[in-house]
Amino acid sequence: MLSQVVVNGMVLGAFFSLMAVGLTLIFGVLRVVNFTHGVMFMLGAYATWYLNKQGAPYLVAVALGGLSVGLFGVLLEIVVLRRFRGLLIEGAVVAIALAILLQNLALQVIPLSPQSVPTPFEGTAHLGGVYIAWQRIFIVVVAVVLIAGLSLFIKRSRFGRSVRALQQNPQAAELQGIRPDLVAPLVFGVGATLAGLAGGLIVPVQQLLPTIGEGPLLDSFVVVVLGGLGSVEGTLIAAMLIGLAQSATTTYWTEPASIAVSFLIAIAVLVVRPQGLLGNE
Amino acid sequence: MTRRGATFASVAIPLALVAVLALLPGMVGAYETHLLILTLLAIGLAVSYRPLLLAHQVSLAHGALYAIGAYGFAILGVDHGVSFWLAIAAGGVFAVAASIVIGIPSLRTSDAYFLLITFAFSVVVISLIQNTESLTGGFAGIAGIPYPPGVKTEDDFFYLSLVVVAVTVAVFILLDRSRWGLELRGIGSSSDLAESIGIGRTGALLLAFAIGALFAGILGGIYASFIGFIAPQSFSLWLSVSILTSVIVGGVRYVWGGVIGAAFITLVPLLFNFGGSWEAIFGAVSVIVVLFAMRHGIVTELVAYCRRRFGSAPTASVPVGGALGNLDGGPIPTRLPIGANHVLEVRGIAKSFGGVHAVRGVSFQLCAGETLGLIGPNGSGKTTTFDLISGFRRPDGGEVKVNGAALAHSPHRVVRGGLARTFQATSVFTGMTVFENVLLAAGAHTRRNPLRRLLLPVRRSRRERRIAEGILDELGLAASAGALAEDLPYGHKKVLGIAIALATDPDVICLDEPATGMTEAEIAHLIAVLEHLRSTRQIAIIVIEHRLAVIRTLCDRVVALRAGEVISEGDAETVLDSPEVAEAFLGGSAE
Repeated sequence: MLSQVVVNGMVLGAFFSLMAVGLTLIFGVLRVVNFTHGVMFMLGAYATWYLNKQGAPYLVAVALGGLSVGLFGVLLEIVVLRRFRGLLIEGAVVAIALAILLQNLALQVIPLSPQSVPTPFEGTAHLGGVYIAWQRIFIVVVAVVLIAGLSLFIKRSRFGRSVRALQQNPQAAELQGIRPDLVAPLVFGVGATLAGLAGGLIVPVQQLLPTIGEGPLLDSFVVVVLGGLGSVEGTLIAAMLIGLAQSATTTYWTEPASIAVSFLIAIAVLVVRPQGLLGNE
Repeated sequence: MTRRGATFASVAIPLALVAVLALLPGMVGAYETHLLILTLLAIGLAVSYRPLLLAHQVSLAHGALYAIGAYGFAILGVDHGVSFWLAIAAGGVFAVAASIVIGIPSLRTSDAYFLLITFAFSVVVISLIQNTESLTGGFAGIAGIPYPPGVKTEDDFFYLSLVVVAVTVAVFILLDRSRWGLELRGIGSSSDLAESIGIGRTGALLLAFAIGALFAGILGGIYASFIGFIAPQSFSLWLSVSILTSVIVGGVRYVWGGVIGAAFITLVPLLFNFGGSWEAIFGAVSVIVVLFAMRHGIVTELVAYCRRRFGSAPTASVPVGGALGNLDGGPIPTRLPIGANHVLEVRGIAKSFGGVHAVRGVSFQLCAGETLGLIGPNGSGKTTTFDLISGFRRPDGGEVKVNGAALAHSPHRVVRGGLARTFQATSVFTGMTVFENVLLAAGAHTRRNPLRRLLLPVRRSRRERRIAEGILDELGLAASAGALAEDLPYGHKKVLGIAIALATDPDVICLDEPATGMTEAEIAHLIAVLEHLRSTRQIAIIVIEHRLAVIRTLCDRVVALRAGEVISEGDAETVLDSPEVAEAFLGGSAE
């Protein structure tokens, strides 16, 4: 029982980190609390569903879905969010408005009834007394590969250095010739892609409804608050902690309480460490 | 408009508005009356939410606090038979308690955390309401909530709401004009500057959150009574968002922005019969359009337009030194003597960032009326030293005493101990007049009766007005008193920064690069200002400055820093001409 709880929690944590890493990167570079992240997740899920229905194999549908959401994110940054870079209040307000606008526009075209998407990774694995759906194992593998790749990219590449420089000191970074107008849309696009992929990855194991993005948005907010806004390592640790806490709450108590429990954990940590686990604000 | 005329209008127009509204139920149908009641409640919510936004804090919890009030009232009133108005008040108290519990941990940190925490809080509250069926009825909600005693018809209810919301608006207008209202503006403009003059940021924000919660809770109870039935669907997150939307669209700067914004955001979708989705789209598009086209909101932009079009805008372009004719060029006023007691003692303070020792073992003393220069190349630890002695950073070691007392570890307490500072970048409260800048500083650090702080219009406090007027006069800024701080020319802004610090009545004032970026004429003006100050009060001054001519003219003693350590200390001539200092600055030759 306990090992099942731990494994479920880690699967959940890997899923949360896909969402939350993008959120924390976007905040680090744009200083915008990205309320559209849940919509990106929802769009990724529906894009996957749609492409799959048009005949694309599942894996292709997920990848294409994620990338198209990423492209849309780049556009959104360039057309709208660019003006609100660094303006915390205005940026958050405009992101909220965009999220509501996109969500409600999407409602005009997407089916309101529950949908589902088949996956090549069917069935459940039985490993040492622990049951776990193959699709969930696939989610964990994708999350680990993507986040490891992204961390390496941010640590080693020229683009990654620009990202970190912009996080630490936008003015100094600009004086060094780093162009926020190039970096910010890309960072936003990367975050949106991750959210879109997460959406595509979850649909085989979760009913597809227009509200599918709301839960993950909230979960990833709690994760970044706990981990410390702008800190990728903190976000990963927090994603695991919240995953484990939600898994334990669901198993030993009741599923609806899991979000309240993770919220209380985040609040309790804020009382002791106002900057989150690894934040340096 | 004359002052009396303006006061008359500010009372007469709202009264006329209330009178017109009071006539409406007789003229429109039942459905319209229903819409008007909902609009009134939305206005109350927007107006009670606005103070937080004024301080540049976004909360997404206002709708959840409204829900807590509604449920608190309904559970007590319907399930437990508590009398109507007592249950309403209890709903307000529950909301206040919730706001304090989440406000204390989340308001201490950066603005983004407050936003995220209040968002999460809203979702959690809705989820709790859905899942605690024994208490809240779950998705089925609570039905059969009665009208208030004595209220029979919907028209009666309209009058009740009108009174409640009119009182709410009146209370928030009073709060807006109070010292606390000005403090919130100050925090919204620059929270560091606000702290530096003695405003406790967390306390002021928590108060805004809690007062807003009280009104949201009470209005929630009234809503529950009006509809007669509450369920989780009535309080989706969309509610908090639409309150935020109302204030942004109407404009934050004036209370009326909240009123107009809420009426617009609530009435338009109802009048045009938008369905759920299109109502949301309308709100979202309104916000985006406002943020793109008229950043400050409808009412704010309208007032600004009318001022430009019909009023005479106060001019800010008073020539530098013009108002200080009595100071500039005249003989240097006689200084008050330097005292014997140490007003500031700094002993061995140290601070490192990562592995870098920004400040190491720095010690110096300062007597009343003395002027000390703090010089050193860039990165030598001058500003860090200021941050340490003004409480903005906590030293790793060493001690600082102001007037013999150990330093408090937060800036707003340090200034109460008698030490004020200015900032390297020009730092004034934007969005306020020059007079309001100094007025805010003139009373921020003194303890006062909380009711006076909240309800007495700040402009009514004679003592503080006198202090502010006196300082503006002294520093040659009186002619620009009515101008917005951000419209001042550069040199004037720097002097206003000093005026703000001075208004806290300090024994020690720390000036961080006061002459940087000034023209020669502006520097002469600055020196005249400081010399004048020393002739009227026995104030100790520490100046960080790269213009060594300024240091030479003003300072009795100089401390030179290099790589975080004191390399030379003594009277100005000796230090400035010493070979170590020359080397540290220029790598060899003298100034």
